Amino acid sequence: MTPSGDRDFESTGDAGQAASVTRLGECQASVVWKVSTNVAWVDAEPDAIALIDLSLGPSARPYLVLEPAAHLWRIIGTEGANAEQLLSAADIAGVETPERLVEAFLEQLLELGILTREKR
Amino acid sequence: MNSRGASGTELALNEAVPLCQAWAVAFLQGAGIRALAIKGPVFVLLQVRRPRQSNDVDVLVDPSDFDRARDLLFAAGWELFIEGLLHDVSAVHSLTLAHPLWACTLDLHHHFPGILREPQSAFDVLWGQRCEVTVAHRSVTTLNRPAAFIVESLNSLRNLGVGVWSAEGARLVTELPSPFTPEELNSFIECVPRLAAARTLEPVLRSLGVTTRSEVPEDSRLAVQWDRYARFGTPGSAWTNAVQWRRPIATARALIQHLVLGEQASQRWASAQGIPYRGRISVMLLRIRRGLSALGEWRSRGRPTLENWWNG
Repeated sequence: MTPSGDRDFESTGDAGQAASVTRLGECQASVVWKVSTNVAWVDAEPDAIALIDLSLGPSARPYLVLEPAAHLWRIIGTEGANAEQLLSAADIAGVETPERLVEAFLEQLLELGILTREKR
Repeated sequence: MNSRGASGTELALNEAVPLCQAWAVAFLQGAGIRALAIKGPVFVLLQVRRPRQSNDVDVLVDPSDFDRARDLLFAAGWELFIEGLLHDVSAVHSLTLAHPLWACTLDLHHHFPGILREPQSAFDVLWGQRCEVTVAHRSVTTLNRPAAFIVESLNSLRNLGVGVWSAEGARLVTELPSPFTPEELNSFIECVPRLAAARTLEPVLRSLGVTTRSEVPEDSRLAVQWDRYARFGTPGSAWTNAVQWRRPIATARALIQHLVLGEQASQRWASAQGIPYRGRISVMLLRIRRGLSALGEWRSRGRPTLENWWNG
């Protein structure tokens, strides 16, 4: 994820927890990742998703999720997605190491509080 | 430079405007300030405005909290788009703010031109007409369709000379993207006099076949401001007139100040126009060229407007 304007972004999550929950082999199909209700986002351009965490108030900064991660975001969309769906999407997108991309994507966005993890 | 600017991380205008509108309203409301998103994407969603790309975000706040809202935005990194004389005179109804991370500017309103009721009471009426729409996947507080149409109509009328208000009133009604239901029309007819906007919205009311009179007195200062728009054709022309009368010696300096923008303002202007940034001189020359085009239009159609001058 790239902060718009190269500004620092304040982390809102627990990095250790995020890392543990994104080991895809341990994830059940019933685990679904969703966009946090604090996040406003726009899918208006083909190369990125633009978003902002509204919970950060005055320190909120607009961010861009660039391709190929933007592709994963679109899979999550408004309904959420599980690991299998995300891996399948990364695979179809022709990413060399789909597992690494998905794990990094989930880990970073969970850490920032942009995504949440739910059991369906 | 790529489509995302030199750093490759800049938001496009069609991303920045909805995100900023969602953020600004949530931020101010989070501080306990009554705030309404107006114009822009929310009015398109409400179908009182035809889809078009906005260059800025407009937020109307409780007038009694206006200074606090401004200070909160300053603390969040926003700053006056242009300082000095231009700001002093143009800040009649709103402040235009800019932020280095946002491609759009933010107009913070304490009232809206053409609503001639005293601002605090007018805001209370509008607050009673609020609703929620989804912008950038989040709920944003704005006006309901009848009240939004009042603001949209006044916005359109004030951008035109009085000579074409009648035609514009008819156009606004016939081209309303989604016609009013009977309930919405009744709500509109009830709301106009409560805002002391019967006179300013007369062209629209006439097109709707409605006759009504304002229930409350007009604020004389706001009435003078609106009458200046009517007399001089546009906010730009009215603004020029106001400057000339208030500080005539500074007029030329102010115009030059607006024409010769600083580096950051030039970049923002280019971004808002959706054109690649090629430096301050390039922006200045483009603005002069557009100004000359506006003058040409003036010769064939009517008055030149500063709005046309700056934005083409």
